[in-house]
Amino acid sequence: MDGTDRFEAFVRRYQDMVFATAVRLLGRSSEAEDVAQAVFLKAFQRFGDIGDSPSAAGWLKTVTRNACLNHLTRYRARWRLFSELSGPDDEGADQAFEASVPADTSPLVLLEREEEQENLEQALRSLPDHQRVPLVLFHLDAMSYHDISSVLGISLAKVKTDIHRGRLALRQHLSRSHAIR
Amino acid sequence: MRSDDLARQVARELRQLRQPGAPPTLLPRVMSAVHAWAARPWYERAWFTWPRGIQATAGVTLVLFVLTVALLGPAAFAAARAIVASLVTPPPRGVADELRDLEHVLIVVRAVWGALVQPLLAYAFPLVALMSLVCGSVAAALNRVAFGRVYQS
Repeated sequence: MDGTDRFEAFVRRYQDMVFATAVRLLGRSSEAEDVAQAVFLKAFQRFGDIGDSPSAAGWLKTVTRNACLNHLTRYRARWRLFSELSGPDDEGADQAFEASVPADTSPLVLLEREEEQENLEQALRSLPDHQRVPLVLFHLDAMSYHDISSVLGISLAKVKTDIHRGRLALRQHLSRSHAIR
Repeated sequence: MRSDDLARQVARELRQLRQPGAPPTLLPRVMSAVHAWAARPWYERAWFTWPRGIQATAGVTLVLFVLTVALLGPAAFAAARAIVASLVTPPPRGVADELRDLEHVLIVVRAVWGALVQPLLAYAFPLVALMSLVCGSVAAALNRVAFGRVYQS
């Protein structure tokens, strides 16, 4: 097996993890695919070091997270502006979120747990950036409030507020799903 | 619902989420990008991806260049000045005054260089080289030991 074949096997092994990390942080599949491609290209350039390393998964996860945050930083001015303009109830963001959640048209579909998860996944992706990113970092990447605050360059209080609002928005989705069930 | 209960409920639901699979287009895209990158000549890539021998050669060349400029620069400047002076005709009076002023400035600069900078250069350059080597070694060691700790680059 030559280097390229080994790298292809490497990509097959980790592509789901890299893509999942990216799409949950970015909320958009097309951008997540772009970031995943860039991450794997970086991995190829260091493949001699990380190819057989047991910490390859951790390296990929960290590089993917940083690449996504860098990607979001390009829009950070707009991101922060929307975040700080939101009122105490974050009404505008919640309305946008509500509108973007897939319509629950068929009760039969909602009976399927798989589809419910798919809805939750979509709901998570549809959250505004300033709520989704800290929420994902906290719940799925197991980062502390303090680490999230320093990585995102925002105050601890704002991290907690955004995560709480994100949870409220997700709960609305969950309670509506359960009510229909 | 209390804030803690809400946090627990959301955490439970999110933990149960399945990892979304990569789209089937990702692997071909990555391999295509990798092939395109690998086809590029080494000098069009980032320095850290160059072949080791070329990296070393480039480093040595850079050091030699800096040394050459530091050691031969003043002599080369003086020689060039002498050549130019022998080629050009004497300038008009106003320009000659300006040139004389410039020459005074150069004399001061040369005096400061000779008295303050040049004596220290012999110590400063090895010190900087040594510090660079130590920094490089520590960075390489950190990269190896704490492999996944790539902070937002």
